[in-house]
Amino acid sequence: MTRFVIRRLAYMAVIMVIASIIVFVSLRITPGDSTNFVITPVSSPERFEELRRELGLDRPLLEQYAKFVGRLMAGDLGKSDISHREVIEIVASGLPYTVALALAAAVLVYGLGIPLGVTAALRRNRWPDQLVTGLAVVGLGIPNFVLAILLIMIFGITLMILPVSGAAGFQNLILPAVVLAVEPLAITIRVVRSAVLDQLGQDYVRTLAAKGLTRGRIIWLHVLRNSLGPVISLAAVQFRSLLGYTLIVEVIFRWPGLGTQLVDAVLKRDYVVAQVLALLLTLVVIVVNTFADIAYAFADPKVRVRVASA
Amino acid sequence: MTRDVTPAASEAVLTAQVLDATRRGPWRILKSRSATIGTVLVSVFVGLGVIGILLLLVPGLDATWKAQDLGNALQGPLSPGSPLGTDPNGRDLVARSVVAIGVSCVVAIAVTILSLVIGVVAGLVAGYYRGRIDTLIAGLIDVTWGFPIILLAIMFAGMMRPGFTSIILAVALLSWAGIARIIRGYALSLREREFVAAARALGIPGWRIIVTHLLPNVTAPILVLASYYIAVTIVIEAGLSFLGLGIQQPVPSLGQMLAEGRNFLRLSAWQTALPGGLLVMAVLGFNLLGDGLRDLLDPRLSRPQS
Repeated sequence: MTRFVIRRLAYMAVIMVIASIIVFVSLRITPGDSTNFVITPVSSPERFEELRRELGLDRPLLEQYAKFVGRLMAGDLGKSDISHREVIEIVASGLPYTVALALAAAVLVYGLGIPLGVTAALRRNRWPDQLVTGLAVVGLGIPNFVLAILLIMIFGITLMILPVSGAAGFQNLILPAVVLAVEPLAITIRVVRSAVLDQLGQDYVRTLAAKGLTRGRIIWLHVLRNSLGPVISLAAVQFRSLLGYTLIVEVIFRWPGLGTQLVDAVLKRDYVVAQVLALLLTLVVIVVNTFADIAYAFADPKVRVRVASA
Repeated sequence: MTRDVTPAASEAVLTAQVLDATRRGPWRILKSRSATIGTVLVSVFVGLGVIGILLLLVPGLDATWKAQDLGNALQGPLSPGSPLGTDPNGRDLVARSVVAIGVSCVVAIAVTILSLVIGVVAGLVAGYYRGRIDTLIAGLIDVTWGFPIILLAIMFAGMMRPGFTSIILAVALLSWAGIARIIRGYALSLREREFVAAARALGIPGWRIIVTHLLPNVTAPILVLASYYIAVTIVIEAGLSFLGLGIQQPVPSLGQMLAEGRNFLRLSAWQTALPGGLLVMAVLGFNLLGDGLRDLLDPRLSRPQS
């Protein structure tokens, strides 16, 4: 087991280095750089060259990369070439908003997904089941930006009861969190439903019923606990797509999180900021994936054997 | 599923079911209600898409979706001369929707073909040969698979000029990994089967075993995956175009029409309802078709995540 963990961590380190190279190169080989925004068409070519030298943009890519990594290791995330804000400050200002949005979405996904999934399984093929699974199909079919506009139209324009942009308070969080939650919620409901159905057919359920346990205790204590395995392993996969969708949802609702900052930085060719934010988001995904794998191996010896022999 | 049989036995049962289902012919898909609805929606969408591609490519026809008439802008549906109304620039929405559907189809098909070719080749080679090449490919799959597609697509759109090429490349560059992961799993189990051992014993070279013995055995998952990935790609294209990082004016795209309509929500909800509805129809159609194909061909597959 220790060997497996060490191996997986070493693997994570390699992937992180590759990811940092990809992020660095992909943003650096772009046509045009941030000097385009500082220099106006009337600036002299000499001023242009001077600025490029100042920013280190005339050095070979490899050297720029080495410098980039060296600085990151020292904890210096750099400074925006355009707004001259410290990147660490930008991250610090966006992070709480992104975390709040993600947490709110997660509460919705699991707070609603588990009870609804269990209900659907218990009333299999009757109207509660058909209603819930039908809603789940619709939830999977609506792209989140379409849903966002629909909700903006209903709650922001027709009913005028919820704000649709900015981050003035708790109400601003409701619509983006709902939009972000719908797709993972639909998937979670389907997974919980099929896991519970699978468990209900097991012998231990009959044994517990014969022992005289109430139906509620059997389901919420025993069946549910045994059904959570697939939900947990799904969580790691969902985390990745959630992170991607956060970018779109934050932009639509002008929620000042890391996603809005990243899209902004890319559009302005603000390399330093875009690089650090893209790398940060990628590293978070890699770390979460690694720990999910390790946690999964702890929970399920079969996986451990399979991975060790692969 | 069948918990009282050994994994190997249930594997054999499943494989038999898959083969059986494949043999009984494609029309069996119409037995499932969701698959039937999916097939109908997909047929309508692709049919309109073909007309859209013609309007987009045939030189004389571009006036149908480009011609502006500002005096006649933002008309609702069923207005005289334009059954679906006009957009904020007074362009006919029938023509623009059809071309936008064509754009969706072009992007989705290009991405799906590219990522299927890369993913299937990588998966089969890694799973069949094992060893060093497998370590390499599996590592590549892990790196790519963990990367959020939308993040890369946004970076690509910033890197090149936003448009067809940047979307297609960005999405294909990542979605092959999900396909390769699954196909590699199939190859790993297929290589242990007797018919592969027999082929090897006869001295048939590895690449021929892959092409003639492994490939036909993974057609079922390929079909199911293709259906899901088309749906995912349509959403990503629309999402990028919605952010202004995808297809650019004057060529219409569903996401771009949606973003344009968003500015007129108070004036005319129809401007967003039309592209939004078409998108939902497409995604629902391909997902239902994928579900139907999966139930029919291979119940072990699951839906990919973007």
